[in-house]
Amino acid sequence: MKKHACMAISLIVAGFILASTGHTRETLPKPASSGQGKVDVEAWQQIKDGFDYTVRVLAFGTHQEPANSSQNPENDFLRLASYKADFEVRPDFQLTYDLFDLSVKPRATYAWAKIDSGTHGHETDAAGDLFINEWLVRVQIHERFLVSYGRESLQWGPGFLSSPSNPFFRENGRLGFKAEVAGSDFVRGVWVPSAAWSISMIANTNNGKQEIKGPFKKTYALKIDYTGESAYGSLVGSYKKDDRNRLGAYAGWTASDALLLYGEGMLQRGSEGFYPTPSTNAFGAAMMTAETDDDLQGMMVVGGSYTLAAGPTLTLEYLYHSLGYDRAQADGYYQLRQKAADAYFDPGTLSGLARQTLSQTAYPNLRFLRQNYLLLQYVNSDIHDVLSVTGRWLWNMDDGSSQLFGSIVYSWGGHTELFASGTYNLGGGDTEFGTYLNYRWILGWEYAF
Amino acid sequence: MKRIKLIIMCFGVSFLLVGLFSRPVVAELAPREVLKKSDRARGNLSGIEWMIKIDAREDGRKQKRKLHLKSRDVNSLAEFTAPAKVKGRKLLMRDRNMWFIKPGLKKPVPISPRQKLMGGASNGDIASTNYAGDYEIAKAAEEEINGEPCYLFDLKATDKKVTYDRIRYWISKKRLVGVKAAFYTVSGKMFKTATFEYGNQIQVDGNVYPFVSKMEITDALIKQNVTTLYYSHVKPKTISDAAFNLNLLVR
Repeated sequence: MKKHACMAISLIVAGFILASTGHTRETLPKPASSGQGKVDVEAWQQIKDGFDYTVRVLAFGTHQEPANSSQNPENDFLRLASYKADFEVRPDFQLTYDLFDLSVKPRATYAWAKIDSGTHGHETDAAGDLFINEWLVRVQIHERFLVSYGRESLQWGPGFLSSPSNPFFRENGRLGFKAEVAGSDFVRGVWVPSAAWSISMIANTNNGKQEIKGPFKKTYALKIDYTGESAYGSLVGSYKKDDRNRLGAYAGWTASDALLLYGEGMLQRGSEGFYPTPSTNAFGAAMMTAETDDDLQGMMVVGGSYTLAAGPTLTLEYLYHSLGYDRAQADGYYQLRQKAADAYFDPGTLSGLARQTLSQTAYPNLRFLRQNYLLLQYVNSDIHDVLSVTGRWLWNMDDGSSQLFGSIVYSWGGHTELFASGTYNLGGGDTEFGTYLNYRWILGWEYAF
Repeated sequence: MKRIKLIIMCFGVSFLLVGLFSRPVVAELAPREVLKKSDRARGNLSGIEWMIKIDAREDGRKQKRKLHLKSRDVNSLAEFTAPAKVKGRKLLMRDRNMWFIKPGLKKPVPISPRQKLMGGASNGDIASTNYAGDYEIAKAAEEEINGEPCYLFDLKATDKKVTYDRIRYWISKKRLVGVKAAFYTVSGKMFKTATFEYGNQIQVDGNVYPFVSKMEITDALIKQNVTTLYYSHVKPKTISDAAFNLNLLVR
């Protein structure tokens, strides 16, 4: 923590030194000052002009039905809530001063939940939290070179279902509804040699607010971006300390006024995922990392979106994930899960092994469980300037399960939004989308000032 | 009395001669040069920023937005500043590539130029205009708009990547600014018209030029649907490449 504070202070000091030596963000001449008093007034005015904030207050209720699957027998293992009420205050503060960009995003949350489970019956739970989800100090060292340190949700790439080229985040925030992606700690240097090219050097120094399984490993990446007249592309090479290297890339093409085509992918040696493996334990199998760790593995997203003249945009996306389970592995996985579920309520020693196994099957350390997915989406974000409608169908092509999602956001005046969403998972308990929830409804209100 | 008639005749002949032998300077310009100069008055400069207030009236509903726009050549960055519910949203236009950034939704989303911004305005409408680069002049004529002599250019898109396939564009012969435009779909149907006012001024290389202050877009089918863009706080300034870099926009 001390090291991080030192880094932030160093950036601030470096910026002030540069500012005092005359390096300024814009090259416009500044009016001559007649004295120290005038300088102070100008500096204060610059701070006032550069400061900005937005506060969003959200209140929303959720009703969901946990699926009675082998992963979560009688909702006793995961203890998912049936009813939830959330209240969140999300202020964003920003200051641009000379060479600096500062931002901080503190969060205040309060959540109440009602949980129905097999052995515990009906229970309620409530908890509040105060934390800083993101903050950033950025200094423009040179007109073409900027460095930053802070807690960010660093996202990129055109992929909707996932952003495989991003070695830092599994979630890309596009599937969640009103949920924020937790920030992680980064040091970044971005060099912009021309309008078309930029090179980013990124170090992920701490997991920040991101939840991780196991010890945190530092990750370093070099990202090279190109933006042309109607296309763009990026190459991302990364190295995770004491782990593996990855090569990611993405590209997009504005094929016409209405049609966008894109692709994104990554390649790596081996897999960090857990796979069902024969074992001498009572279940005859356990979740283990792959024995051979040098096969070339990858993940790829290809897609396109088309905007109709009437306004709606349709998106079709296909995802291939070689790290996911093939049919034999999936059969082994579900069989193991079922054995663990059968032994879960066992009064003897087997229940301990069952809990351990279900912990591993719940988090197999893979972005997706299987290999082939298809997404079809309809978005009309501007119906009479007040209504935004989204409809989405996500299909696991390997096990046949799917997820239907729909949302409506109604803008009321300049400050208020009313929103509702519904998610239905189709497929049995031994499918990916049928594992956790049968359905979920969210109804809420957002006020911004 | 004879003397007065003689004076009037002399004046008349003088005006006739001046009319015959003097031609407006702008008429010397090639049509593409005229188009280029009209682009300058709509933001196609080496660096400029301005504020836009959008008032949209659609099907009896009224909506307002305020944006701060930075533009350089074919790159623009628009940041929504009001109302509060849209504050912080950003629209980055790198030539034909566009991204939308929403606070909370951290990932920049690639979007098409056709996607609607608000009311009758498309994303492409708030960006600087590059008609000279994106269109060829299929036909040139002359016509008066509100008594003002204008060139009338029939512009045809040079490729299919632009927001409008065809534009009929009226450019003032005297002021060299676009005063009216009619926008057509690929099927040849006119779907909206726009009129422009130039109450702003900018100084470039020591010369003062008019700059757009108002753009009023009217739906071709439902005439009551009108979206008005007001431009203010226009400032030519140096804007670095970093200002349009996607890696630096989300913070």
